[in-house]
Parts: sequence; structure tokens; C-alpha cells
Amino acid sequence: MRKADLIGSIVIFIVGVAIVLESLTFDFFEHGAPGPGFLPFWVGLFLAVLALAQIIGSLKNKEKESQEDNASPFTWENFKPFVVFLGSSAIVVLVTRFVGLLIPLGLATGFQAWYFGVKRKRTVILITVLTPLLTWLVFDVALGVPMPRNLLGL
Amino acid sequence: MEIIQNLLFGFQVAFQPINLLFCFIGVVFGVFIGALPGLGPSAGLAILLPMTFGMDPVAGIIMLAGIYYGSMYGGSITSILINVPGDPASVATTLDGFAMAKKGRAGAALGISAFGSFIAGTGAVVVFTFLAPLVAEFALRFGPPEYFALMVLGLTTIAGMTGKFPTKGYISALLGLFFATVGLDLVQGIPRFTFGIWNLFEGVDFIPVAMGLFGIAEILTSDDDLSDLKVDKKDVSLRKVLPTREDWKYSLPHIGSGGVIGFFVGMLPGAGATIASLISYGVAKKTSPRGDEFGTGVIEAVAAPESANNSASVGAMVPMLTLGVPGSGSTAVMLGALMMFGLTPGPLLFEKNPDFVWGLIGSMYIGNIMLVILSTACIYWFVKILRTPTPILNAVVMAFILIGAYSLNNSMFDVGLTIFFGAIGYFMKKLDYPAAPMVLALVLGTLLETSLRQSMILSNGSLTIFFTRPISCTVLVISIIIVIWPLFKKILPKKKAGGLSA
Repeated sequence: MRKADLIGSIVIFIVGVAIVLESLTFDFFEHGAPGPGFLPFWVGLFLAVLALAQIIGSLKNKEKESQEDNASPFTWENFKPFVVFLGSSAIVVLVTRFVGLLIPLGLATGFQAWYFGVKRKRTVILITVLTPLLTWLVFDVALGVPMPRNLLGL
Repeated sequence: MEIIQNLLFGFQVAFQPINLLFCFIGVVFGVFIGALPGLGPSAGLAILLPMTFGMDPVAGIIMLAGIYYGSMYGGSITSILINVPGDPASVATTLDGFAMAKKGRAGAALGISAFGSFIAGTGAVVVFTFLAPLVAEFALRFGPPEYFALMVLGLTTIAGMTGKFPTKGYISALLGLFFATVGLDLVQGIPRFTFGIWNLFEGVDFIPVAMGLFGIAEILTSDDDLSDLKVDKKDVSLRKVLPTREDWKYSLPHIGSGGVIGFFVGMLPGAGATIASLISYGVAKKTSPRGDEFGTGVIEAVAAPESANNSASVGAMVPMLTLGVPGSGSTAVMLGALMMFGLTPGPLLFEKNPDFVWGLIGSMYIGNIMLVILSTACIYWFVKILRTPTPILNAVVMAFILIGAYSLNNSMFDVGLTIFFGAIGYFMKKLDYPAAPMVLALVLGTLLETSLRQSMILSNGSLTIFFTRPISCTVLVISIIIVIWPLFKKILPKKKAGGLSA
């Protein structure tokens, strides 16, 4: 955890510095009032300072931490849902332009359920078909949200 | 007298069939969401928010409020039956609730939890009815410096009090403030941090952020499976669920104290239902004649925290509606929803949109009655549905989130943004960064920047305006104390130890 924490703090520190640098390109003060760069400057500065404090704290506690404290929270086992859920969802976003939203959404839902333990084919097929159907009924029909469609109108 | 008239008007609004229907839907969804481990009220509100798009604002807020207080009760179901709290506010309930279930008194624990929630929740709505207009009237005197100070207080308390590490809470809030600055600057109209992406010119909407941080991140990190959840129909029959005379004797005083504690702690920014339920449990343990038996399955130990967390959910709406300053992740989502409906939360809401405010208040009385009926008569069916395997549930919720994100602006960009914040939420959860401060900061960010600018225009660029006005000065001093107090706590023992060794 310490190493992951340290990396996280370094990333936040970099983000903070980047925000400060970018905010300097905007007016800091104008006509006696804060300009567009005022708030981002202070936000970035405080972010960088707090992240730096965390980095120092993490390095100082290096000796004190047990092996268990240092265990990574990102093992493959608990990283799997991240890859599968977000990966398949990202694919849905990418292919929607060509095949519409409902079909890839149904396939992604069925795949996710199958991958994480639903092994009965009938159940997987039901999820694949019913989820887009239900969301279509709720959002498209009931709430009037027009879904992105493919050439076949699906 | 005026309040009574307004309340009657509120009941007229709330009793409209469409509003009754959405109140019922909200309460039912709320109970389920509260019962599902991981999915707390914030996640539930964020996930179901898209269902209110295009709805009449009154019906929308009535449904969201139903989800909020319904989920407060729902958390007790799994706490009592399988020792897994549905949300953090139900942690205290597990201590004696599960012990009661092991003794074969699951029905009584669920029953007192429902009746305690009903009594304390209704009591809180009564206090809310009379207190909220007074707070709103007082808040009419507030100017930009007072609002700025209040928002700073809200952010510092929630950042400092949620999660294990205050520093991480502050970082989360600062990141939220940063995301709030993305988009066209309100004064100069120049784009800030948009990286040439025109979809970001209007800023980062809070809905994809809330759905990503609360909804997707919960799915990605959930490891509880309720398919083993089993309950004997006889254990939760209506007869078993209704508390006995002895149960009432022990529980009633603690329902009362829990309700009072819950309401006032719920009103404080950052404190919320979890702290309210834990304080209430502690007070009950100290004041109950059976205090020594707490932890072994005594009924008042279930009644007290459950009453407190339901009452806290009502208390939390006071600052949100009257000042426009939410104190928790859930109320931040609700505040964002109000803005989405085109309403401006704050003291003028009571004057400009009485149907909205009083309709909501009226619906909370009705919602509490629906909740007690549902939770006593239908508990067996709730448990049956909760047994849906987690992989199915997660996949379906994920699909619902993606479609919900799309429906915000009919744009796939929002779907991508939701996935992006889901990824950020995953890392935040794994590294113990709380999500609520980020969402709250994002919701309040624009208002905070505007009131800061307005205040400094009033004072010709001087920051002293915040310290020369009594209310803003007091509030800011409290915020500063909240920020530096943990530092003092760290330094003081070291100094003491150093002094002793010298």
C-alpha cells in the first residue's frame, strides 16, 4: 500500500504543479477581483503541497510499515473487474457510432455477467436480451431519450 | 399558522397520484439500494438520477428523497440478516441486529428498525417543517461573503471528516474544485483546462462524476455476494416483525434520543448519518439499563442507530434546501439534481417555489408511512429479490449507468466521461481517497468561485471582507479550526511526551 500511496501522491503532485503552471496563463486579478487564474492557482498549489506532505510522510514511515502494509491493493484478482467492466464499456462507446448503442450494451452486459460467474447459457442470453430491452423501454419509450441507432434502426 | 397552511398545501401537492407513485418508486428503490452492500444512498441517487430527466421537478425530488431515506432503512436488512452493513450508516446496527437474528429474533430487529425509522423520521420531518422556513428566513440576510464562508465550511468539514485520512479528504475536495473550474470562465468567457475539447466548454457535469465515482467504482470494488442470503418466511412474518410491548418499553426512549441526535448531527456538514448512528448507539449504551448487554442482541441497540440514521437523512436536507449548501455526498447529488431541474437552492426557494418545497415536505410524511408498511409487510420479498447473484446485478447496474450517462445530454462523450471518472473512483477507493468531498466540491465549485469574486468586488479586492462581517468571520474561523485541529492533535502529544522525557 505504501508504494501505491507514494505513486498516487507523486501523480497528484504532478497534477497540482501542472494546474499551477496552466493557471499562470490566465489573468490572476482583474479590476480588483479574482480573474480566471485565481482559483485554479490556489487549488493547484494546495494540491501540490498536500501531495508533497504525503510523499514525505510516506518516505518517513518506510521503516515502520510492516510487509502487510506494503502489500499492493492492485493484485490481478481485484484488478480484473476494472479491466473487464471498463474495457467492455469503452468498447461500447467506441462502436456505438457504427452499430448503435443497444446491441453492444446488451452484449457487454451478457459478457460481464458471464465472465464474473453466471455460467448458465440461458441466463446469459436472457441478460443480454432483456437489459437493452428494459433500458430502451425506460429511457427511449418512457423518458423520450433518443438512443443512437445503427443503419438498421436498432 | 402560515406554516400549517403551507404544509396543507404541501400535502395537496404530495397526494397527487403521480407524486404518490414516484414517492413509492423512490422508497422501494431506496430500500433495495440501501440493502445492497456497497451501494449506499449516494451511489443509488447518482445511478437513478437519470430516471428523473424530463420529469416534473416536484415528482423528481420526491422520488430522490424517497430513495435517500428508503436507503437509510434498507441498510439495516443485510446488517441484521447476514452481518454485512448495506451502507456505512448501518454499521452500528450490525452489532446487535445480527446477534438478535442468531437468537431467532430477526423479525423483531427488522421490525423495530422499521418502526424506529418511521417514528424518528416522521419526528424529524415535523421539526424540519418548522425549522427550515426559519433558517431560510434568517439566510435571506446572507450576502456573497457569508455564502463563500458556508461553502468553505461545508467542504472543510466533509473533507476532514470522511475517510480515514483528512489529507486525502482535502486532496479529493481540491480535485473536485479543479474539475469545477474546467470550462468557459464565467467572467472573461475564455476556456480553462478544456484541452481543445469543445464538449468541456460547458464544464464537467456533476452527474457523470457522481455516477463514475459512486456507482462504477462501487461495482469495480464490490466483493459481497448476497446469493447466500436466506431467511425463514416464519421469522419475518408480520407477527414476528411487530415489536412486543416489552420491545417498545426498552426501545421508545432510544428511538426518541436517536431521532433528536440524528436530526441535529445530520444538519452538520460532513457529519452525516454514519456518525449520527454511532453517537446514538453510544448514548443508548450509556443510558440503557441493559447497557452491559449491548453487543449480545438487545433491541434498543438496534432501535437507536436506525432511528438516528433515518432522522439524519431529513436533517441533512435543512442546509441543502435552505442555504443551498449540502453537507454530504448524497445531498450534494440532490443539490445537483435541483440545479438540473432549473431551481436555485437556497432561502429564496421557499418563496419562489413553494409547491416544490412544501410538496417535498408533505411527501416525506407520506414516504415514511409507505416505508413502514413496505418494510413490515414485504420484508420477505425484499430478501428474495436481494438474492440476485452479484455478477448479474453489477452487469445490469453498469448498463443502467452507461445509458443514464448518455441520456444526460444524448451524448456519448458523457458516457466516456463517466467511465473515466469510474476509473478515477476505482483508484481513489483502493487508495482510501473519499469520493464525497470531490462531488461536493464539484457541485459547489462554481458557486464558490462566483461568491468569492462578488465578495472581493464588494471589498475592492480585499480579503478582509470575510473577517469583518460577523457571520462569515465566525464560519471561516470554525473552518480554519477544523483544518488545523488534526495537526494540533498530532503535535501536542509529541510535545507532551518531549516535555515529560526532558
